[in-house]
Amino acid sequence: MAILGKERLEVWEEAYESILILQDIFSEESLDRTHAALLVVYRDYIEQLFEAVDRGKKIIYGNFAVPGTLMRGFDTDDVFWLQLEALSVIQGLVGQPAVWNARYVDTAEAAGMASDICSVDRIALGGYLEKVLPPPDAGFYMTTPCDSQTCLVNSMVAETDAPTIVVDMPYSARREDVEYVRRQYDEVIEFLQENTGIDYDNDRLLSACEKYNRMVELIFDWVQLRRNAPAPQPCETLSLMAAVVTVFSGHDNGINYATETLAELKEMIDRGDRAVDGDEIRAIWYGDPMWSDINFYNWLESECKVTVPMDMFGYFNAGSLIDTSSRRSMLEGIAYNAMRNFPMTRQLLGSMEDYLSDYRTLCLDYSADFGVVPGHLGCTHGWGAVGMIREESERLGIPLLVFEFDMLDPRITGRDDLEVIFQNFVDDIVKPRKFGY
Amino acid sequence: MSESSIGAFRDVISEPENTFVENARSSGKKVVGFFCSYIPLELLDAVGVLAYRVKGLSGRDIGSGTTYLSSRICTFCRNALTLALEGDFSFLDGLIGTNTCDPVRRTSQNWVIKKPPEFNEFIHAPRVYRRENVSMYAAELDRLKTGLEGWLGTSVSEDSLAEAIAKRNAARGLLRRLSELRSSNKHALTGAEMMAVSVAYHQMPVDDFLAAAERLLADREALKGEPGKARVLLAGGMIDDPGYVELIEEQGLDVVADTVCFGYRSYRDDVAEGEEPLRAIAERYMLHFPCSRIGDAFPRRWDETLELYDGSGAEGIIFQRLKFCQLWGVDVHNMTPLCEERGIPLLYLEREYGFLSTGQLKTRLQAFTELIESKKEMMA
Amino acid sequence: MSGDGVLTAGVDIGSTSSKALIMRDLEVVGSVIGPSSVNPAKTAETVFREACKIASVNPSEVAGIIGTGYGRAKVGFAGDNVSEISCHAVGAHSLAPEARTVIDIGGQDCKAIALEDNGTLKNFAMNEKCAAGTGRFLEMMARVLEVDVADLGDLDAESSTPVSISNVCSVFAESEVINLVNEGANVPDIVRGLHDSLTNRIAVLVNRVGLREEVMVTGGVAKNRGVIRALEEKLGLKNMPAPDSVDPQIMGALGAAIIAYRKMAQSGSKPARH
Repeated sequence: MAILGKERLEVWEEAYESILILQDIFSEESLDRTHAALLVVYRDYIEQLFEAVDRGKKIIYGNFAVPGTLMRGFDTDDVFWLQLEALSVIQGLVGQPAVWNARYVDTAEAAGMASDICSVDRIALGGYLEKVLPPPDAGFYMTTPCDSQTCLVNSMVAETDAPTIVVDMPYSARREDVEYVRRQYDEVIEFLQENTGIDYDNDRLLSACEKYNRMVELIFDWVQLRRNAPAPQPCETLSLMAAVVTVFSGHDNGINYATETLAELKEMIDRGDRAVDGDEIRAIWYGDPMWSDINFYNWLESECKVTVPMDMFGYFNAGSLIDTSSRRSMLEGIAYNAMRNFPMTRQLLGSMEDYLSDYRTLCLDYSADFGVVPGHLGCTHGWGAVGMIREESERLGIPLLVFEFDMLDPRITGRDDLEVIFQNFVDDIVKPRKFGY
Repeated sequence: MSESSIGAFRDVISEPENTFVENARSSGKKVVGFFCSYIPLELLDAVGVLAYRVKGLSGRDIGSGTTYLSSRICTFCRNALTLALEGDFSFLDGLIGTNTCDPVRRTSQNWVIKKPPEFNEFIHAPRVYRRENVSMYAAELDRLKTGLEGWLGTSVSEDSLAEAIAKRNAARGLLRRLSELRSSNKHALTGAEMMAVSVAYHQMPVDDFLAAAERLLADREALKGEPGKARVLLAGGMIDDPGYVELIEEQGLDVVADTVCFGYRSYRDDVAEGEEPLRAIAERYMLHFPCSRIGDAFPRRWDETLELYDGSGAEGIIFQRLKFCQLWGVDVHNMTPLCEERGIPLLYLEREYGFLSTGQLKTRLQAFTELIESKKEMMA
Repeated sequence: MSGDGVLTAGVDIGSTSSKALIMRDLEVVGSVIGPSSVNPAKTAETVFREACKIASVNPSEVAGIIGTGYGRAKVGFAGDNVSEISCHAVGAHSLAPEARTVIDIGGQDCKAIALEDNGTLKNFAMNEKCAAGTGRFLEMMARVLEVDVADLGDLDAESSTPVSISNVCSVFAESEVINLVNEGANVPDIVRGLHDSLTNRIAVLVNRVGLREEVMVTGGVAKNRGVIRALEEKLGLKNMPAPDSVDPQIMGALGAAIIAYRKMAQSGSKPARH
């Protein structure tokens, strides 16, 4: 299927076609506002990407943590900011088996990329090596949230000849740390202007920050309302908040998605909808989502009677809005949000207490019956905290399930095994504690 | 204590609580542990503690470390944490954690929670190679300095920092001379011996190191040894085991240079003297021969590796990394096509910390030697 | 006296099987493949003597002997030992000078070897940590399917709709196969799926050293035409089989015997006496 009237690489055409088919399906089920909004977001991203290619816009590569809001200061008529991980996330989520992701893993490994690096980064590199991304005119990356991302940055610096600037993310979020990141953002803007020849516009930045704030206000409400028990809104799309926010913060699509999913949640509460039929069991999914097989969450709710009211990727604490008074305050606000609101960076980049405190809060505030540490193989700072989170969970009196899997590569722990792991845990440990049998 | 001049260094690293640590404790001097080539020894010297870079112990069961870190973390971290939890590092009065990498960060965090030393501090060392970011690092070092001063009830003057700088520069100078000896055609110092020296450098007082290094130089400078079958540069991630280098050299490969952090990367660069000392220290440590933990420094590291490769007359590169060490996993990926372009034979080895799977290693090393030899024959 | 010409031998002591091969003036006159034991030195003696018997030569007349394989250092009567990587390369190149990639699939390990145009080593990659990609994987699965390893090639050819085996780990793949059998999947289809799975692992290793035509597959598993089929599909290339006279499992010993000859020619030294 052509995209914007032209033939494109198979991987993109397949994804695009799946999105359009799903859009048809969800347009009939007019109550599913979240899915519909999500598909709009994905479709728009793909169309923007190919518009950029067709019109010869400057392509700036970035990784997951790069703040979209900051990038909107460049005119989107001239610049397209390409998030390296976007394709792999889309792949896992539009209903096709993750064949392309698996293939890109193999491509990256054949090129010598170690198999213990996170699959997100192997896939991004593999896709790049297979030339499914337009080449960059410049690169702007951040050393967050983890070593694996730094690996991706390292490989991009080596592979591409494009002028690149990397921002260092500090360990804490003190005043001086926010200032440090803000200074670097200033340097980034200057660097990108020089190297793309495109001017940065502070008015565009202002508009993006205002949109970010509107989106965040909506997300804040949504995060709070998801405390509802019994859970009204299913958890399949919960983690996708992170995907949408990273790509579309400071953009109308981000606001629309937040608007729709919040509205849907409110409607569901009013109607008394339930994510789980019968007695529900509530779990906090504290780590990487099951993007290799997102239908797993549906199985969890329908067969296992487990719903996830909140997870690490959906938990936009959203405690701070960007002060739009000046460019400086805006860049500071973006910096602060990158450090304190971006999932994974918030919980995993800093101290052990950072990691444990959100877990504690989520378990308590969302009435968790058990916690889940989804042990994505490449997530070393998650694994390195497994002993402490076990102890924390014990202190809280909440059972903890730790299991190994890969968030994008379905070949590591198959669906059958995952079902057995969860069913056994729920039957043997959670149900007796909760229901007394 | 060994009589031989190289034995002095081997003794230092043979067990965690070496003689210098014992001496420090009996004289009331504090011992402070750290993990990383990005932590400045000069600061610790100036504040009056014994600087001690953490390494593990071969052959130790790492069950307790694994409980907290899981088996998805490299064996170095699990080994070090095991030793900490089991009391082998009880002689450390202080610990400086760094964001060397995520596993080391977690290791130091678990450590200070479970076995809190008297003093601990966490330092953020920037992960970019940019002069513009040095002031952040200088601020972190200043914070560390203040913390250390408060703990010890002392004050660090600019003079004491300048003195520490001068001494460490002298020590690095000696290390460079020894390194050149190892690279030279004299074969007066093996790669394994050089590693023992550079690891010991990180676990003994600088004055004692200076004396021992002078002695070793005097002993070896006039020597002439036998060359092996081929000359290699040892690259890759964290390694502190002379035994590993010995195994390589037993197969007939001379390890004539290295770019590892316990080795060349820790002594190639000096701190500028005659400038504001803490700033000079921050600059040197941030901008020294970069580690793979730095996100934007691969091109520089490659250029500097090539320079060393050519300068030392190496004929191949052995790149080793610990299983699960992600940051060095990408480095070998980046290097592979470049080595191929340049016709540099490259052997990639994965290892576990604390034990050698000799059979597998020997096969690969032997095949690599044969490869280099046949290449040399072809070019002759 | 067994005839004129210089006799050399290669003795390849692997972890699963041991091989010896005798050449006279670089012509193969006898070879043997036998099981390995916990005593590699003894096994080396045994296979060497067996090979000599088959070649009708007196062991004491063999002028140059090279040991190779996992147990090469234990071939005490050899003049020297050489890695099995070099030996496979030399062996393959001698049979097919156009070979540029050699894939050796052994009982417990797997090697990908890249050759220069003149047959010398260019690059290599090995896997001996994990059963996936080795003969061990197929042995495990054959046991579960209750078939002979020797029949796997034929079974592969009977498959119409191959089953996809999703697990990369042999241990988990085994459970997966058991499930498939219980669900009624037919054996040839499972076998084909297993061969595909095996070659996926091998392909990663091969791509690491860079795939160049022509490709030769050696090692015991090369005798399984189902694996050859899967490899050819996966790599998009036709495999060059070794000539019928040479068992692919004997490639290492062949290379060792050739190297023995070359070393003697080079040094002109007194040959080793057995």
